[in-house]
Amino acid sequence: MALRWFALALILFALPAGAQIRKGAVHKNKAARQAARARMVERFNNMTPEERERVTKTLPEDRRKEIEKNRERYAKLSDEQKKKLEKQYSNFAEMPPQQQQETRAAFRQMVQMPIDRRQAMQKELRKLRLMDPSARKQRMDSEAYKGAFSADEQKVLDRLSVLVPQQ
Amino acid sequence: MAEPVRKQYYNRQFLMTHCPLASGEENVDILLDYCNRKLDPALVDVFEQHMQVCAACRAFAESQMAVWDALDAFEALPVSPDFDRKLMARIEREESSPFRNLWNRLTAGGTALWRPLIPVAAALVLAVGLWMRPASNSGLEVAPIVAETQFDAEQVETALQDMEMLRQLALTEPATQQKM
Repeated sequence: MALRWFALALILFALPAGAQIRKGAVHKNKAARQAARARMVERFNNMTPEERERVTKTLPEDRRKEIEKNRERYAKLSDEQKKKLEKQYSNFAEMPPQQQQETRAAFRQMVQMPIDRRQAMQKELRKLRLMDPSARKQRMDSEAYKGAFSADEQKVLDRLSVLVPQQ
Repeated sequence: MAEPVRKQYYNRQFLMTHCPLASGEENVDILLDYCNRKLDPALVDVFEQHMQVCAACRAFAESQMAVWDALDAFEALPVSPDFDRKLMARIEREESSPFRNLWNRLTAGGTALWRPLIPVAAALVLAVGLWMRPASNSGLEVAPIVAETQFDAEQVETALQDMEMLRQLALTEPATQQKM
C-alpha cells in the first residue's frame, strides 16, 4: 500500500521536477557553452604562437592573418575590458543565430560607410542604447531622426541599437 | 449458488429450441455448468441431445472440457517437508526487522490516518532535492567542458570577429573613441 502511494507521489512530484531540472540544465548548459566560447578566445590568446598556428593551420592564409589581427586587438585590452567584452559576447551569443547574422550584416554595412556617417551613427547608437524601448521608438519615429539618417542608415541603426551596453 | 435460486434453476424447463449460446444470458449458465460438470444429470441429457444438433455449443463445450481435462491431468509438485518451518521463519524475520518495527510504531501498526502522507512527503522531499540540485552534477555540462578543450579554428575565428565587432561598436566603452 505504502509503495503504491510512494509511486503515485513520485509520479506527481518527481516528473514535473525532472522536467524543471532538465529545462534548467539545458539553460545552464547553453550558458556554460557560451561562456566556454568566450573563454576560448582568452585561452587562444594565451597560447604560444606555435600552438595558435596548429589550431589555425587548416584555414587559408588571409583568414589566419585576420584572426591574428583580431587577437592582437583583443590582447591589447585591459583585464577589465576583456572581462566586459566577454560578458558582452556571451549576451550576443545568446541571441538567436538569425539575429546574430543580421547584426553582423548591419555592422559590415556600417563599416563600409564614409567615416563621417559612421561617426554620426555611432554617436546616435550610444544615445539609442541608453534609451528604454518606448523612448527609442519615439526617437526613431521623429522627423529629426529621419532627417539625419538615410533609410539604409536607419535600418543599420535599428539593428544595432538592440545590443545592450554592458554596465 | 443460493438454494432458492438453485431450486428455480433446476426446476426450469430447458427447451431444445433455446440454444444457450443463441439465447444470451438466460441459459448460458446451463452451458457453463455443463462444462464445469456441475449441471443437474436430468438437464445433462437434455443438453447433450441439444449438442448433437448444435455445432456452436458442441465446439464451446469441447474447448472448455479440454481445459478441465488438462487441469485434471495436472499434478502439483509435492511440498517440501520443511516448507511450513521456512515460511514461519521468514514471517518472523520480516516481523522482527527494525525497519518494520519502526514503521509500525510510527504508523500505529498501519491504522494511522496520516500513514499515506509519509511516502507522499518522502517523494516531495526527493522532488525538491532533485529540483534544487545543481545542474553541474547532472552530467550535461560534460559536453561544453570537453568542447572547451578542443579548439575549432572556425569557432575561434567567429568568436574573435564577433568580439572585435562588439569592441568597435563601443558597447563596453561608450565614452572612448574607437578605431574602425
